[in-house]
Amino acid sequence: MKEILEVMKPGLATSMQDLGRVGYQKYGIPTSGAMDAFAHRIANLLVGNAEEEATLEMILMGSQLKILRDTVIAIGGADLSAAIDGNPIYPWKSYRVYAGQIMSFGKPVHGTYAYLAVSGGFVTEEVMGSKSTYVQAGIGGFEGRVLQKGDRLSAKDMDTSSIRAGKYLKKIDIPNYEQHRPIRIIAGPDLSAFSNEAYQQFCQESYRITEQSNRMGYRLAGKALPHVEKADIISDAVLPGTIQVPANGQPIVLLSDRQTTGGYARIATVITTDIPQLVQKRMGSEVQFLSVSLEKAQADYLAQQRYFKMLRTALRQ
Amino acid sequence: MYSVQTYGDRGVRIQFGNTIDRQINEKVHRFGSLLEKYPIEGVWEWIPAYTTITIYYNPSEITFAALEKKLIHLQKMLAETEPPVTRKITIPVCYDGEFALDMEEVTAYLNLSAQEIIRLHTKPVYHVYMMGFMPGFPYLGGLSEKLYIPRLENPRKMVKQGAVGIADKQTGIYPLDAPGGWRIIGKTPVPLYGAKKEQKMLIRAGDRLQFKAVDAAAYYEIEEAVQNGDYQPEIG
Repeated sequence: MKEILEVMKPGLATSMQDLGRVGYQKYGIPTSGAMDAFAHRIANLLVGNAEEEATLEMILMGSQLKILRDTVIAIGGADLSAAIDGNPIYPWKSYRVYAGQIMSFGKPVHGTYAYLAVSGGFVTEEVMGSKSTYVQAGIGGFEGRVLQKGDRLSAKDMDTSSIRAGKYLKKIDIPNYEQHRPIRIIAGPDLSAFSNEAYQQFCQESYRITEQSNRMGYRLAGKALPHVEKADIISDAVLPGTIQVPANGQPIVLLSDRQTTGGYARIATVITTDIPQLVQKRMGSEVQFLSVSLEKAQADYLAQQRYFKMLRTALRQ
Repeated sequence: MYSVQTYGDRGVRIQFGNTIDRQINEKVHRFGSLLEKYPIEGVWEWIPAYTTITIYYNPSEITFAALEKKLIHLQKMLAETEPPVTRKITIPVCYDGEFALDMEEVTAYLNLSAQEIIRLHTKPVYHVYMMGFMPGFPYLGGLSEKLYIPRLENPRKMVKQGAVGIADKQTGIYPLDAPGGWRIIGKTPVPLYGAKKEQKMLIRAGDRLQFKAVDAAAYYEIEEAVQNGDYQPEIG
């Protein structure tokens, strides 16, 4: 293990994340993990890592970092105007960087969350099988918190001269965060708690992502979704992408740092492959929802797993 | 009542009833122990709640149809399984002075003496219906009706870890510092949510739990033992 990065400016809220903490939700421990698992996985693959290695998740305003050791890096997800010594670098491509260089981020161009992977992966103590930071409980990642000025991060000690830089994702595979594709959902599990028109309305109207959105959930604003009687349900498990609707009728999409259970009726759940598309939308932007079947959602999920399998092989060469 | 429902594209929700009821909840936890005993490939984890258990699975390892079949099989076994022996955890609480931030107001509101409140709070053996809300937080059932009280009108910005409170029809323990509107009547030195490295959870859904009143001297003694790593929780 060797120190690889020093934080010069922390940015808005940069935290270490992986694919999340699985197996402890029965104790009330949120999974946490990368908001955009797709971008996180790609960034890792581009630098020769396994997809579950930890990356640095940056939100809108990235960190300024000093490179302490030669390595290969890649960014997946949002384009936050990254640069090395002032020369622009782009997401979805790997670059060789050298000790003493400064990596900076500037104006957010597309998307919200960017993932920085380094060859070998960041090293930190795992908490309950994961390196993901859960700030509210002060666990995981780098000392259980977002990065601060002066933090020195370590990576696995390895010879990175054999890792090829310049690997990239094909243009056709790069997600377009600007496109107005509806976010696909599966109805329920509490459809009966809503009036008959509510679900139809939810799929027809558009909803705005409000400023009160964060890693716990995206709070939406739009035409209120009426309940039959009341919004409260007997507290029950919630999953990534679950959309709960409190008494005010304004939906909340629950995301990585969500509590494990919730007490509001759930109108739908965002399908797994569409969560990245949703989280990369900017606060203030409008979102529309489209109802799909379980079969369609799972077919897309399986197709994505096959895509990653193919990519693992392709990027190894 | 028993129903299996898909939940998103990676979840299955099994419902055992539709009221908060100890017997229904015990079925939930018995089902959970069957899942533990007979692991199903492709199942990541499960989350027990009051009336349901939600199974979180990887669709590229098991199809919904195959999973449903296995769950139905477990459901059949459920009828033949003995209820598991549940653990009883005793939580020492100091109800005195600065530990009991809202005791004065609570005694006035409920028109009961502090002694009576302590007696009513330590008497029942509570049932841990589920965990949630925050890491290591138990949803307890069995609070005396005489202790039902509305939440604070102005929730505190920060409640200390270990604070024991009552609100509405519930009592609970704060596993970590958090904002909250519960009325605080005491504090426990016992961490619910393990030391950072180990992360052992003291309480599990399905456990029984009882509070035991201790004085400030005993509180500090336990606190010191916890810090030295010598504290053994009372589990019966």
